[in-house]
Amino acid sequence: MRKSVLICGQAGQGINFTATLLGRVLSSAGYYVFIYRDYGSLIRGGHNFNIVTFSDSPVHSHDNKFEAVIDLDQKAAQHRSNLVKGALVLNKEKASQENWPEDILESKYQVNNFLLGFLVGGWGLPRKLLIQSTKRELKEWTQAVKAMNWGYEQASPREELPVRSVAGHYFLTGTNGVSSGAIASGLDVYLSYPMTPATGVLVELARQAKTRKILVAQLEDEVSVINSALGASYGGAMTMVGTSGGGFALMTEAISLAGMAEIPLVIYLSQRTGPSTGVPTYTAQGDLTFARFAGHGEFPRVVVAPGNPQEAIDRTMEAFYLAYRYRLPAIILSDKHLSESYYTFDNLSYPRIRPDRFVVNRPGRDYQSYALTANGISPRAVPGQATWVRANSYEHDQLGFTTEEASMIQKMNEKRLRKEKALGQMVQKWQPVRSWGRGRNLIIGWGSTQGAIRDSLSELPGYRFLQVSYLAPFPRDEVQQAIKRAEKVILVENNATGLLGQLIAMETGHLIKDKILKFDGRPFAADELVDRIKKIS
Amino acid sequence: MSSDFDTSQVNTWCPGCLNNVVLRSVKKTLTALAESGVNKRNLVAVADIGCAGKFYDYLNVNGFYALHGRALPTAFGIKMANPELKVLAFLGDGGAYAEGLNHLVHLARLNPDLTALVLNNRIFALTIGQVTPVTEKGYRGSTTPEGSVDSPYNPLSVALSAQASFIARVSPLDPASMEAVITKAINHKGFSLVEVIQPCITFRLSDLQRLKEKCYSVAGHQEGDYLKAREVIESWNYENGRIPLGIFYRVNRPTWEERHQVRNWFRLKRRIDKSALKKEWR
Ligand SMILES: Cc1ncc(C[n+]2csc(CCOP(=O)(O)OP(=O)(O)O)c2C)c(N)n1
Ligand SMILES: [Mg+2]
Repeated sequence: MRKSVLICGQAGQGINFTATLLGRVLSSAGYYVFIYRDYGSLIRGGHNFNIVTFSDSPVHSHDNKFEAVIDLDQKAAQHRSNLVKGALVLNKEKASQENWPEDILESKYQVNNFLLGFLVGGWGLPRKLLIQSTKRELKEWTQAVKAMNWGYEQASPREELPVRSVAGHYFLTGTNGVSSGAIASGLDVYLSYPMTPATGVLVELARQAKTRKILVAQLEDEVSVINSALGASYGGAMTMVGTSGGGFALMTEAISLAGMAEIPLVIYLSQRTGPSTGVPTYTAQGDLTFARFAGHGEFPRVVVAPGNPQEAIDRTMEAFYLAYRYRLPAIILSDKHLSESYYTFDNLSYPRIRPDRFVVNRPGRDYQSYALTANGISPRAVPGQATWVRANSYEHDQLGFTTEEASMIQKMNEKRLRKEKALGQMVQKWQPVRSWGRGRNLIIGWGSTQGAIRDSLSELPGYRFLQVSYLAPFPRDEVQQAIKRAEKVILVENNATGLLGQLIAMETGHLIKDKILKFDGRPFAADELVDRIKKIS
Repeated sequence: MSSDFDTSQVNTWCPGCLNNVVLRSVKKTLTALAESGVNKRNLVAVADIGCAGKFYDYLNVNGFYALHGRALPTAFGIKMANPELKVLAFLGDGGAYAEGLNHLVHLARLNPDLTALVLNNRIFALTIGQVTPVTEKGYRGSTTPEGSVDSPYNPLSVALSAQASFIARVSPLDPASMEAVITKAINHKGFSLVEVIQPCITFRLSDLQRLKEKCYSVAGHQEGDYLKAREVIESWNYENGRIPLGIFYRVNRPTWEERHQVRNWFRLKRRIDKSALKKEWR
């Protein structure tokens, strides 16, 4: 069993709220849920929709075939070709057929609650799940519950959906995962300037700031954000910044500074459709190359690409660990689809990585900020300890003083680049690539396409999916071997030119010829992928 | 005269550069501060890029040699991490008034507890002599061979509009007054902006005589009076007329760190309860 509900309406009609609530009800009834949000860059009006896909077995993506529609702006007709036969369409027309009380249908938001009650009632799901979920989402819930009850009572049984007993379902977005992973890493300071689709983490951390004792601040621009963040990290705080492509572009000079001055920093980059301002509220994987290479000069970095909220927690914690241990910038590469979609999990885990600032306890008088060491990692100290601590954007000597001397320039470059070796070994134990399914044919992808690809595998016998989760340091051997062993290799990316494919070519020399690319701002759905992959086969 | 704050770095300022006078005064000020009980390990010098940035190499304290135009956000970030640190930022007029002007406005508004020394020689010196936004009209620099046709703006007036809580101008031609003002600026709780007006002896040698003639001290000025501050600040437009020196404006406002309850995060022992984090998503 796998079903989808479309909830559509104008911006400001509360469709996100209603979809999240439905998701919560279904997940507390023991179903796996995925919610995709499709909306424009406006505050009121337009035509937005959410797709709530759910099943009694795990779902990782949305479908474009709807069994029911909550149609708040009478535009369900636009989605006609995606309705299954006999789909239930809840809108004004239906209301007048059914003689539903007019006052509730005219009342903003209560109409959503009424229709949601009707939908859930028709499935025979216990009313208390609906009410519990509503109380969780709303402080003022009396009216909403009243409207829901009303709708619930009007519903005649359509199809019985049993409540499934499960250990407990976790319901969260990629935004939630990154925020939670950061807190679990001991985050002290989060700085940002609002930019969709990265704003969610700023909002989420601001919500939790007080209880978790973290400093969350919105500054005047992304340039200030990252330079302040480097100041804060130098000063001893566990620090993260967040932005999308345009803001990240503004940050690049300072990313190079983090590389040169060896200041730990975690950077959350949630991609949207580019280039330039692009399509702010739509998704893309167009910044892989930019994230991997941003910044002038040569220096090591980390770029991780989680594929779902659990991985967002894992990879965020790894990013913190690596940034602080190796004193370098670590980028968490997400996108609109991962950041804003809801996923469900039977369980969530937080990796056993102990938060650590990696600061020496008692730096001696002979402490050097940039000691030349065998593995390239210079022990870190922070100002206020019993020594002088220096950070320098210029090339420098071991103490951190400026130098233009040839042999020192070379030594420091070598020292910084030496960190790459230890780094590469370190990430081996964290599954820099993941493999899903079995088969001689290989699908290669990264990031948020994970969900649709996994959901397509059941229709694609003979295929396995290799998910590349580390873009830097790049898991060269793993990718190379998987490609060599495969009969057929297909690249799947949410961009126009196959950026992972280009990186693989650069790192391994393999050119992947078969590419399935999508660059219309929309994420892949599983059925679409199955069709396109079968065409290639 | 040797100081605890000396480094062994070779001084690469032009022979006779007045930055040396400022450096000596800063060392004296810091020495006095340390003697008065300030933990010198909490001193941090943040430097912009330019001749003014070289303070980083010549001052033996904690240091951050930041990007051009970004010394102020960097300094601000250091205060976000640890409000106990005493942060002193060194910028040129290029870094403070051109590349990084927006940060000056926002720090003035937000009032973090740190001091910005803007070494204003009215020239991009290190890049060998181009006009800045406070260079007078008519100046012939390497990029304005016919003479600049644009007039300067008044950055101190902008800082005042942005509610800076401490605004002063000093000159290395009067080191004693300079030291007194810098000391007050460092001790001021909030954002203090000190413009060090000085001749660039390589590109603007004639300023030496001009500054000697035109600078005067505003002794007896009411430091808490906003309108008086505006009057004295706007009495010099960075082109003609007499140049006032002294503290133009000083008021007490809550600092950013106080308003945001910043702590020394490094000293905070966190107990992270992962099961509580997990519960958020049920
Ligand atoms: C982003 C960036 N742009 C340009 C430069 C080149 N640059 C170095 S110093 C400087 C100007 C310095 O002028 P000022 O800030 O007045 O300092 P001064 O040398 O006069 O003390 C410039 C433009 C740079 N380092 N970084
Ligand atoms: Mg200058």
